Amino acid sequence: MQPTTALETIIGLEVHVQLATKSKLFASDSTAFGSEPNSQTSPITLGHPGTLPKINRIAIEYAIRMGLACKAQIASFITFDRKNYFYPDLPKGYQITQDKTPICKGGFVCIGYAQNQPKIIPLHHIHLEEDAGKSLHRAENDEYSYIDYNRAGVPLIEIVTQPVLRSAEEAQAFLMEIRRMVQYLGICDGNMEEGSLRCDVNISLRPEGSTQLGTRVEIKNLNSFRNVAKAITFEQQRQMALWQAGKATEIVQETRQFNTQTYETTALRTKENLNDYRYFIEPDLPPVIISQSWLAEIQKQLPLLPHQWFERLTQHYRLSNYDAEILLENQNFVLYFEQVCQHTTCYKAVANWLNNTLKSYFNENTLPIEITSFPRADLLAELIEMVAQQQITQTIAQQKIFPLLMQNPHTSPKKIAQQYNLLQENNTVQLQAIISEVLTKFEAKVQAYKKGKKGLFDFFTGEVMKRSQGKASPLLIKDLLEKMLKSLK
Amino acid sequence: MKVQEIIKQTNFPALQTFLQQQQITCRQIVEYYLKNIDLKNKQLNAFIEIYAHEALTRASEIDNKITTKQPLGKLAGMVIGLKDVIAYQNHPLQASSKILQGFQSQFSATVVERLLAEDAIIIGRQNCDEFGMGSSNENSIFGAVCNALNPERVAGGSSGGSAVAVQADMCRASIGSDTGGSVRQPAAFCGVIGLKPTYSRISRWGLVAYASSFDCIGLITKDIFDTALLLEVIAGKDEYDSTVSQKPVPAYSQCINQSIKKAWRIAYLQEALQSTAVSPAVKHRTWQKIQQLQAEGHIVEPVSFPFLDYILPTYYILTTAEASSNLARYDGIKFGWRAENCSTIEQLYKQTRTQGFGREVRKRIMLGTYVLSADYYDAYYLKAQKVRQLIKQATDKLWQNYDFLILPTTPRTAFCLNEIQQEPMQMYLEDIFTVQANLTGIPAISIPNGIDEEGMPIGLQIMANYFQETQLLAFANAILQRKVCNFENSENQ
Repeated sequence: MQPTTALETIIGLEVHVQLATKSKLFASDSTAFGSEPNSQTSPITLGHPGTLPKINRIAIEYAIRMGLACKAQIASFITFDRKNYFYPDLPKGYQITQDKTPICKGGFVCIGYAQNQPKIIPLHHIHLEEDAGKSLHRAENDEYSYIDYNRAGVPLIEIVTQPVLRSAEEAQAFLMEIRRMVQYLGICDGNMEEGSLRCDVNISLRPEGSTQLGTRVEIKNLNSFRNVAKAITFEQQRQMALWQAGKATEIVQETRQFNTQTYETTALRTKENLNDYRYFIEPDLPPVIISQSWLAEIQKQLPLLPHQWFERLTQHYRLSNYDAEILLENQNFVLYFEQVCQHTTCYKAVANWLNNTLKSYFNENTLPIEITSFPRADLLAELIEMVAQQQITQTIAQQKIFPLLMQNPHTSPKKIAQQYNLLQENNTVQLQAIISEVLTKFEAKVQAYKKGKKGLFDFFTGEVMKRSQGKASPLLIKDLLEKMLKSLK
Repeated sequence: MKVQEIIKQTNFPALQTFLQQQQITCRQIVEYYLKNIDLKNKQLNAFIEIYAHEALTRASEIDNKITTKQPLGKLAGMVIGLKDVIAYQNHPLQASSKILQGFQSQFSATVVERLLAEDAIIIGRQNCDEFGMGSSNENSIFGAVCNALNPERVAGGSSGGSAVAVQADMCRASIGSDTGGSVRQPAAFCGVIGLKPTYSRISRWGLVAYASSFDCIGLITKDIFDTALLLEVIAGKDEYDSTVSQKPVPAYSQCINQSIKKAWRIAYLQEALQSTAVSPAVKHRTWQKIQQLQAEGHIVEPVSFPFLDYILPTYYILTTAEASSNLARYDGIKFGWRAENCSTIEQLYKQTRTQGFGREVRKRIMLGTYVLSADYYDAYYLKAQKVRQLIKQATDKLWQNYDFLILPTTPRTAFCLNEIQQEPMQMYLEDIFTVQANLTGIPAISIPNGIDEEGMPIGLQIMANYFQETQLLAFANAILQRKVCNFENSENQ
């Protein structure tokens, strides 16, 4: 415990993923977010006397998808347990969860592969459980508390890692990978603002080289990547300071909460005050058998995962790690990328188009990114090919033709170009005339160029392009301009 | 025959014939029971709410079906009372507890749906021990139920109101619930028939939970045909209860008179008939029945059940554990009764639950919380789970050699009100013979088996293997059809 010893941080995460099923885990109520408070609350959700839970098999299937994606061991049958505690947002006085037989054991998630620093994060397990309602506290002077039970009973999977993460950055990378995975698997929208993903952090410090784990602190309910990082950083520093002051024993096993205003964590309850959850098997739900044939069915329908796509994009399509990573941010882009690439081999250009033009267009017009609202894949490919073959300039393609294509997603870009007279002009004579006109007009600049101000070349190019109304081939301009400037000796 | 005699004396198929021939109406039947309720309920306290107007309206609707020759449900003419633990849409549901004061169910139990679909008439809800916890029906916010044969005696519990209602002709049948004997024990005390079918035979959707892995909806009637008919209507798979059996439901009512096997193999518990806790009259009646069966050529043999001493502790550990969790929802937050003037959430919980639950319920919640707590979990809850398995295995073994196990339903007949209320161990011993069926899940029936020297009824309990209700009902019927002997002095056995 010498202050000079370097310390390492040990982090384990518990990620709660809200499953995007239409109905709740044990009731047919809708799970839609943002509805009128307490409008999705049947007697089952509210725990009325005489009600019984009924398992939603889609939720089980979603949990299995995640398990298979992580190469976890899937249980051949699962049971549920009751976790008993009193809280106003918990309608039955217990949460139905899995204590003894989680649906998935082991498995792993790989992070950092796009940065050439792959790291395997082994998982402890994944289990299924129901969410609780939401308590709302309004103004300070409001004597009431409010509870919205719409969320109560929404299915969750809790993904629990082994304590192998070492930094805030790794924790963030893990979360981002999880988010990408659940989105690709179609089991969660990954929307952290709406609470679809939430995270508890377990964190402790220990002298480097030590094999024992230090006293861990749990930070509950973090709901953004940023807050996870901030909370870890704060807690790292707090514990570090105690270690360095020789007060490591003052770190107690406790639950802390993160203050999103001050970025600090504060103690919520210590171990002595921890709830005794009195887990016992849920007698209202018989075991659910997960047959090999069911597993095979789910496995068969498993989509390509982010890391698999990454490999495909960088190996087969030869994209840079950077381009591939950006493309991966949205599964729809990746799928569309592949569709467009069926019609052109300008893979890099396609990636650029998607990552820049297409993305900006959807961002600026605040449109949801859906494949159905993209141009027909062969038409975008046609546009990209036209640029490659110098039939149009990149500028014309991006600024003129693309917006028109978005409005007429079934019209050929060639037709658009013809209709709007946008095809590149490769008429040398006409272009020579324009160039002489420019060189005459900016005579002084020509002199300056001659004296070595070579940067003016771009200026001349721009002027020529302007006068050609953007239709001239940049290559041809460059060619002619170079020749004519030389001949002006 | 007078209307009253028809209702009282005819069996159900005959009653339906009278209805079809329009010699009697459903309205007259309902009026008959309403009149009895009016006369007796004040003293007996079996019903806590009467749906008089509703029952009469429904009766007229069914009568109209008869006069217009529309198809009739199997239960047309059947007037039924519901124990206050069975949900009936838009009707109060309270489990005889203060904590559910003012609560109305938003849905009907599956059994209620099925009864109504067959034209049964529901006449009211019945008093019981709070949340089904008790053996004398003295733990009720509505007060104790009295035995109609002697109002100073208890009705038994927890379905005391349901048993007395049938006993005193206030309805034809009652739907009760049986977690440890709550249908069979009061049926025995009241001299009526009480059936607890196999666990999972009847959907629990709409049954207020006490101990989920034990709870069973049961039937109280005077005639075993009614039991069989009601069972065939309400049993069977149900998408609202994941634990209910998917097995097809036999037409029980068609099977009860089927010619019965010549020689049944019957076991009786040696210990039960030797125990000093069992009253001489109960012993005598049970012996008599055993001898009678032997005389008829059945094989009746004593068996030893090594776990008898463990049955009650196992039952009370596991049921209280489940109850502590099942009753956590009654917290004053979302529905039911809430304590006033509480300033913190903790205070609200404590006050609501301390004042809202009765003494027995509080005791069982505390017991259950204790046996599930981290430090005692292994010693109590886990151990009891293992013992439950052993009891199941030992019981299962019986069926290799026997068709039925017979026992007295209770060690003695109905005791006096307030007699043992302060002696919980003695009260718990009332269930000694009934809880085995709940621990294992096997079906069990209590049928009248004469009376004791004070005129109080004695019950004979018959148990059978899982889903053997057909055999069980046929056997019970065969016994009941024999002439009932009068009480003889126990020395004469």
